Formats: sequence, C-alpha cells, structure tokens
Amino acid sequence: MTLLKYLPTPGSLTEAELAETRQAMSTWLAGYEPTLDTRPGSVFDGFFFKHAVHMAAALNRAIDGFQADLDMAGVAAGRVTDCDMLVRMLAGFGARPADNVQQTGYLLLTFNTNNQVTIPGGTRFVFGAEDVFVPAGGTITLAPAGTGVTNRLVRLSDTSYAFALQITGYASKTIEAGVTASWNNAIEGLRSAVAQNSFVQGAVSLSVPQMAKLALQTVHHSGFASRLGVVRHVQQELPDVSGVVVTATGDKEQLRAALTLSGLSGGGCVDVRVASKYKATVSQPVFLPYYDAQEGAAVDKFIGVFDYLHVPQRIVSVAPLNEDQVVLQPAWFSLSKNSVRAPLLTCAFSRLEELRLVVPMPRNDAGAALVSIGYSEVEQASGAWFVVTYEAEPAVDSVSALLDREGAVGFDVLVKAPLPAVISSLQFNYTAPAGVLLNAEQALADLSSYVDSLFGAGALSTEVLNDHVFAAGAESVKRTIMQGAVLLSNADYVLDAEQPMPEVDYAAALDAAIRVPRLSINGAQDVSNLSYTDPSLGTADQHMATASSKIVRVMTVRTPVYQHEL
Amino acid sequence: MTSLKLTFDAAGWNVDFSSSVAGLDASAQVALVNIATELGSDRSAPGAGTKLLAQGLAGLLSNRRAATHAANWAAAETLEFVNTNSPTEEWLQGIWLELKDFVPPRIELNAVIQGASGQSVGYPMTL
Repeated sequence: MTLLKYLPTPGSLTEAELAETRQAMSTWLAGYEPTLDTRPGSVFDGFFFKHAVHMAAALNRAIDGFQADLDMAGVAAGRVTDCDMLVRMLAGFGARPADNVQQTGYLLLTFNTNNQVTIPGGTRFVFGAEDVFVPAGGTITLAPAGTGVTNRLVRLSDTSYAFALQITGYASKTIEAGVTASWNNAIEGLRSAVAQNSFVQGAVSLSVPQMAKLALQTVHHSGFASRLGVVRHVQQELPDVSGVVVTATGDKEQLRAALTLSGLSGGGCVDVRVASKYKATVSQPVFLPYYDAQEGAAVDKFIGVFDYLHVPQRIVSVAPLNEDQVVLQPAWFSLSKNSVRAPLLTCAFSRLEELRLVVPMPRNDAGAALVSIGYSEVEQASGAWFVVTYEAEPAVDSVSALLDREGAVGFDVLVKAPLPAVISSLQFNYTAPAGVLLNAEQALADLSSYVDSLFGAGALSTEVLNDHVFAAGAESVKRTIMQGAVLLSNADYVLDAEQPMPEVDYAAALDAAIRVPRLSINGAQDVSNLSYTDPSLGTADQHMATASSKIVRVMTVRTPVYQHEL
Repeated sequence: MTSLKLTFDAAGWNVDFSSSVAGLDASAQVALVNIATELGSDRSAPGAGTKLLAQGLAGLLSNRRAATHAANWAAAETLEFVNTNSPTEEWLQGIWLELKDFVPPRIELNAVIQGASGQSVGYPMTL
C-alpha cells in the first residue's frame, strides 16, 4: 500500500505534533459542527476524536514526506521518503542510476585503404570474449585523408590510414592502452582496432540524492542559455570530460569577436575549452616532403602539414621514423583554416588550427644528410617519415560532435583544448624529522591528482603543492622552485595567410610570420594570476593570443625533485 | 457545547445514546472524566487527567489527610484544564471534591461543580 510508505510509526508522533493536530482539527470541526463537544474527556473525544487526531497527525506527516520528495533540493541533501517513486520521477529529468559502470575510450582504427568508409552505429568492438563496446556517437562516415573534413582518415604511411574512434560500453575490467579489439561488421579496409589509451569510467552508479542533484543541475542549467548550462550539458553527456570552461563575447579571453584587420566581426562567439580524464600520448607518423631549394635559394628542409589524429595539447618530440637517434630542430607554424571565424591564434588548440612542421635536414660535421630521403607514391613527392609524439586532448573532437548535434543555433561555438601551462622543473626543498623518509611516491601521486583536477575548478596554489609534501612526511617545506611556460600555441610562429606558405617560399613565409611568445612561469602565482592579451592587438604585428588562469591547464613534464635539507 | 450523556452508577459508567447534555452539564461531565483519567494517558492532550488514580494505585493515599489533599489537587488541576479547553461561556467557576468515605483501597468523593452563573451540580464518585 503506497500510503504505508509515508505513514510514520505511531510512536514517532510527538506530543507537540499531536497537540497541534488536535487544535487544528477542533477548529476545523467547529466550522462544521460548532456545538459538538470535542474537548478531552468528552464522549466524542473518548470514543473517536482523540484516535482520529492520531491518524490525522500521521497523515500530515505522510503528506509532508510526499511534498519533501517533490523538493529536489531536499532530496539532493539526502531527505528521501519513497525511493521507488523518486527513481521513476527523476528518470523524467534524465537522471538515471546506472546498473553497471560504463567505460569510454578511444580506439585507433587502422585501414589499408584511403577510401570513404562508414562504421555502423551498431558495430560491436569486443575486448576479450565478453566486453562489448559500440561507437559513442552512433554511425560515423570517415572521409579519405586530405579532404579537410573533421571525420577523416589520417595517413600513417603509404599503405596505412587511421582514425581515432570514441567508443563506449560496459566491461568487466578496465581496458588498458594497447589492447586489441575484434569487430563484428565487415568494414572495408579495416585491419586493426587497438585501444589508444586506458579507458575511463563514465557514468557511475548514482544514489537517489545524487540523481536529484543531477536533475536540479539539468533543470536549472541545461541547454546553452548560459555558461554553466554549457558546462553542465557537456559534463552530463560526456562524463569523460573532467573540465569545461566557457568564454563568450565580452570576456577578456574571447578575442574571436574582436574586429579583425579585414573589418569583419565574429560577434556571438563562444569558446568551449575542454579537458578530459585521459592521459593519451600519441606517436603519429607524418610524411614531410623535402625541399632542397625554392626560387633558386637553398632551403634544405622537410616541410609539410601535420594532420593530427587528436588535437595536440603539447608536442613532446619530433624524430625521424627510422633514425630515431638523430636530433632534429623542428619549427612549428600555425595557420587558421578559417580566418573569419578564428583569425590568427584565436584558433590555437582547436581543429581550426593547421600545424605545419618544418624540419631542417640534420647534417653531420662533414655536411652529410642524416635522414634518408625516399619517394612517396601517395604524396607524389620525395621526403621522409617522421614521428611526432604529442600529448593529445581527444575531448575536443567528442565535444565538438556533441555541440554540432545539440548546440545552440545562432552562436559560433568553437571547441578548444586548454592552454598548457607546462611546468618543466619543480623542486621542493624540505626538512624532515630524523629517521623519517619522505614518501616521494605518495607525494607525486597526490600532486598529479591535484594538478589534473585544476582545470575549470581552481587555481594553482603553492600552499596546496606544499601540503602534499607535508602529507608525505616532510616537517617543513623551505622552498618551492618552479619553472615553466604557458604555451599560447603548439606553434613557434603564426603564418600570414596573405603570404606564400612555407612549402612555396619558406623565406618569405618566415619573414612574414609572427613569433609566438611564451609566457614564463617562475612560481604558482604566475599561473594563478595569469592575465595576458596580445600587446600588439590591432596592429599588423598582432597574433591575437590571450591567456588567463581560467583557460590554462597545468601540466608537469618531469618528476618533481624533493631535496632534503638538513 | 453538546455531548452525549454519561450515566454513572455503582457498576461504572454508560453512554445514554438517547440523551444529550449541554452547557454546565457537558462541562461537568468533562470534568468528572478528567478527574478519573490518568495524567499523560492522552498524548494529544498532555495536560488531560490527574494523578489521583495513580496515587491511589501506588498506595500514596494512606490516610484521610493525604486523600483529601490529593483530591483537592485533582480538583484544582481539573478546573484549570477544563477552562483552558472550553469557550469562555462554558467556563466552570469551581470544582470541589469532598471526601465522603475513606475505606482503602476505595475512596468515595462528592464532586460539586459550579458553573459561571453560580448554579451547581453534584456527583458522587467512587475511586
């Protein structure tokens, strides 16, 4: 009986409740029967009324409980009476408990043909014998490499093409990077499917208060009417996205709405910066044609466009594919694919940023080339294969796909990765009591966890960094030495779109290019207080980069040094 | 206020469904019931009842003086309780419990209840 779910036990009714109910019922009844004696001790009271008061008090408590279940804020705080009813009601708001823990991840699909291929949404990718995953966004059609479309193959070699497909599903164990999957559909040209990273748990099993909290956020902040609405919507649909920061027209970080040199304004612009829980380091081959000379002048460089699988968060290294001991001096050039939507460096860390890689031919002291040049039938050019290793941000593509499907009409939304604040050197000078050894492993784990959680949530703090050292056994932290740089782009230069490209006239392109500055980091406050806007904005030398602590993601590239002081 | 009439006899009490009481008689009836009700037995009316019955059962009414004192106290508490729960026009002016006979474990009381107009009614009570 439904009522029994709400009725309290008779003994739980308090005297105050009963007295209040008696008074209320007497008053109410007097409006109907003004002469009826309902006083304690009267016949009516003895035979009926005092018992009816108990029932009325219990029903009142039941109604209170039912009304409380309709108050989402109360349910989110843990005040729940009828779980079953709430689960059914919250499902209407899109908040559902998960029967199992769902995982999401990226599968590197490798093809031996460069043709358009469709992967049906029901394609099952199976790990082991029983862990089944399906494409996260449903059916997807991949265009051939070089077509410029978002969902396209990327060339890994003359006979190999790849695409990073986001998949989702339930697994009995965590899927680790490098694990191979089988698939059930006949997909033309598909030769292998390998997990590109360790998969991340997505939806977690929600309690009723947690679902109510989610529903509250959905109702109040769903859709794209506000910054928080965008954040909530993305995080609800893509649980693997750990941080979302939205900047819109009028924010100091949003220069896409500024007037460009051509006089066009991109008003109504929204940048959505996203960071995922993944730590995916990708080593991707790229063929670069070799240019011995241009316009009669010696060039002696490999120059080409890097068609990245995922938007690079930070480029780690460039090395020849077959001569990995050779040290290179690569230079990166940025060019916006759409200078109206995102001119100059306003495209940085988005899919609109085209990255060109220029590698001078390494030579020994005798002048001999250290990288072998071969001919590519596909490229119809002579050059060499290089491997670019970079830390990827796959969330840019998955969020872009989501916003393309469900985003607000009339806004120019561009999804980007955060600006990396790369901490290249971090040292803690500490003291510890005699006989106490610092648990450096714990300190490192805590520090990594803290740094990974910062984007979209908080500012870098030296005090919190030091707390991790304390927690690992230090008595005091004498000094924290931090060095690094905030990257405004992965590129070293911004190309002038009006000038010839490097592969046509490298000297002219370099002469017209604008150097991308790097913002030095000498302490946590340089990150937490960061506020930078291109000082040349509005002039011919502008690069249109902007930075603030809000849109920066801290990344440590080396293990911190813990220096014990006596 | 109107209520069904209670009749009291040696065997106890009965409800006379064919008769009703109002005014002083109704308030007097409520007062008599209250005297014999154990204090705290009705959680919806925490002040209802007296300790007279409980004191008797506990053996605290060991002599006439103690019994008289307890009866007086019960009368005062009942007067206050009835008037608190009654409309002004049905307030009682006084309640007296005279000890008629003290034969442990039984006491016999004469209850005299006076209304606001000065009219009195009397009821014998055996506890």
